[in-house]
Amino acid sequence: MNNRLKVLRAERDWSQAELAVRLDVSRQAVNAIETGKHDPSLPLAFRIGRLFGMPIEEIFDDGHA
Amino acid sequence: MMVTHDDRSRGPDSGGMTFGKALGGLALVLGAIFAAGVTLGVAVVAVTDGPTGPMLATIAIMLAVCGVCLWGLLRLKPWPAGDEPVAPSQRRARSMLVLSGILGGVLGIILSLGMFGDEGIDVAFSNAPLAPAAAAVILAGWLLVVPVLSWIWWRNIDEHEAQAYTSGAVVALYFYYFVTPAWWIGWRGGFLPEPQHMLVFILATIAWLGGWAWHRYR
Repeated sequence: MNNRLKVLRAERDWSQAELAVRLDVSRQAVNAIETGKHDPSLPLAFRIGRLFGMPIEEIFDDGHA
Repeated sequence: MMVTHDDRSRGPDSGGMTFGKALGGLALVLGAIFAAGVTLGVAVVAVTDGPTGPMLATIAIMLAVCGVCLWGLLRLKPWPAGDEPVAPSQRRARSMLVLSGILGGVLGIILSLGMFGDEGIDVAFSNAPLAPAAAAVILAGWLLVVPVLSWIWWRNIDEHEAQAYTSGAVVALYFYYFVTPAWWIGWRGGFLPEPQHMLVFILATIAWLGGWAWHRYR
């Protein structure tokens, strides 16, 4: 699944580790999501959406939009 | 702008840990523990029964192996940078891992000290008798303390870690599922030695760690 996490993080000048602390996950988890190796669960996707103040579908794209 | 799957460049922020580094770190840790265990076991036999040339040579070689593994770990640095912020749950999970490692080391030392016999290096993986007190302490640690630490660790890891752990478990399960009956049948057929269940356990654990590391750091 494609996503804008890396771009949104860069816009806020956060490192992966800083974003990981805000989401209460490991830095490896953030890296895996950014590179498309891990699709977040719905609860984590909602946490990401709330953190960036955006709906999930504006951050994640399953290619069927 | 969407970041696609092809956009997998590993910039400085993607972290220093890779699958190869994680696997190398695991191999070096296991190597150091193995060498330290053999050293301790042979040293105990040397003290109780008197040292022999092969015993002293084994101790020297294993100390050298242990030193090389520790030197490799310091060079590889397969751990997070000290100044990297860490989420509270991740800090708790890491503490449980460290505690488990310390407990494993202590149980290994008790296992080495509780062994009887004078077979030297072979005693580490043999079915030699174990002092009842040592066996009781190890059983208590393995059946009472380790499950509690595991449960606390499981409660604090994130979903990515849980998925990596589960993937590793599936690899280990398949390994066990195919190797155990195959070895048993091979033994009964007369072309394999008698099955060693602790060896299968250790190899299944290594398969588990390999599957976990691949999923987490690939």
